[in-house]
Amino acid sequence: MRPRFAAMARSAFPPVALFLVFVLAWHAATVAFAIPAFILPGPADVFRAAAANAGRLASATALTAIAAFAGFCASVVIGCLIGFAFSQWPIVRNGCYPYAIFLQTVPIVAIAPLIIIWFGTGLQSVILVSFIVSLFPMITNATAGLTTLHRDLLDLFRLYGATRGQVLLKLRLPAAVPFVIAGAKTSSGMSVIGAIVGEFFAGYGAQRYGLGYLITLTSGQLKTAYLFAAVLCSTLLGLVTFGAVSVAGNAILRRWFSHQTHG
Amino acid sequence: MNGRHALEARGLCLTYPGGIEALRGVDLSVEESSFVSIVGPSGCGKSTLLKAVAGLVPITSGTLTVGRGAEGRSAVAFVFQSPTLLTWRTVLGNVALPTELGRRPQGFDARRARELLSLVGLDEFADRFPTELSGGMQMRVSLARALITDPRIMLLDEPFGALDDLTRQRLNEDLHRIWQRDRWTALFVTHNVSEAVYLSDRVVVMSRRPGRIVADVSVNLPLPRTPDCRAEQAFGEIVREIGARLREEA
Repeated sequence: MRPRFAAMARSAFPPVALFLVFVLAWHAATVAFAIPAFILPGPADVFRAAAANAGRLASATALTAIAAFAGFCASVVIGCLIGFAFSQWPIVRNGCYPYAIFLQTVPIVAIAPLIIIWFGTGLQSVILVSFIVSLFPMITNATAGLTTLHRDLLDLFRLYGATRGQVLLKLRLPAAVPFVIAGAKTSSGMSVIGAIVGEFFAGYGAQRYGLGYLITLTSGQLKTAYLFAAVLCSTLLGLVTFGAVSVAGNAILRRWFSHQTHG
Repeated sequence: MNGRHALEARGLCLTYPGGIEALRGVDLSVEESSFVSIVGPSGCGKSTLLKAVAGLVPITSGTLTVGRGAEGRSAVAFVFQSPTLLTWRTVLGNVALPTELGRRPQGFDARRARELLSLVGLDEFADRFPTELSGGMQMRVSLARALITDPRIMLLDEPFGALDDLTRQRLNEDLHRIWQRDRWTALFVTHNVSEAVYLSDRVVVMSRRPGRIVADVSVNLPLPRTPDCRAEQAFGEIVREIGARLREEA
């Protein structure tokens, strides 16, 4: 364990060092050019704003996290189901794939207001936006995983007269797991973006709000330091989500697919 | 079909749907319990012939008769060029895989799988995952998996091609020992003439594509073969003879 920890520390050093240099340069710039805090607050201003509003930031981050997590889970489950349908019935894939691409290309900012009109403001709409934004990578990866040809392995299964169900259960589904994990990594980050975009349009009501609403609110009031703190929380939430999914995914890969642990 | 023949091909032709003519007029009889190697230039259709025998690709014309397996035995087993193991299953689970497949699977047979693992010298690795094993060990697992259905015919498609020379020789010796014990019929594809001679009763040479058989050399060396027999003069002469025929084709 110790050498692994040392290796982690070694690989963490460059980004941490870069971050410190960046913060110092940022601070120096705001002081040297006397930039007004409402345009570019210094790191100290941001820190003060974050400390002063710690409770609100924490509750907003938690709400956004809940919405993003729910959207992500829905994407994983429904993306896998759609991928499964696509892989089993080519006619379904041919018919539906163009509309799946629609999910990827439609500007979510443009249809989010529609979703609010249809589903009202509140958690369900935020989750829905997060789900729509993070669904596509799950569909493509699950489909790719389930349709990848393992020629010799398929021959092996055929040789022993394997039924279609056996090929699916014992070969195709397990072989698709690394693809699904890759999709989940991409999808996890996008679910956070989706939740924040959703919150731009839909609040939760009753004085409860997520990071998206906090960002619109603080930018409107020119509380730029507070805005920075909210953006920082969004970034951290995205990182933590991606990190958690990566750690879980890599653990699965290392255990059962140890030749593919990269990425 | 002659009862002593485990498989017989007459005028076997095979053209792939894409139009590639892989085999043209293959005549080959393989006696029950014999070990026959096929050598030939790259892409000559050796692997195709094996897949045809396994029933994995349909033949275009000619006849191909493959002996049925006895009660409770499958007709053929196939060892591929790569180990083709399922990375998410343990070594034991991989060896027992064939017992779980088919319309009426016999059921996961862990006891037999363990026996076969000890036969290939991997008793201690039953609960490991394939990616923890070296290439040679993975090939041993693949071999044990092929043996679990107690096949009548073993089809081996260049199974040791990716291994270093020493590992290949060790595996040859083990394969020979297992064949001596069980005496299934073997059809073994290889690029390595020395390996073919060491293992076989007969070595057949195939032409360039479209493949047919152009030479059929008996290996009259005493059985069982010892590792030292590779150094004997008679061994070297047979290797040279086959090598010469192979160069004419390449």
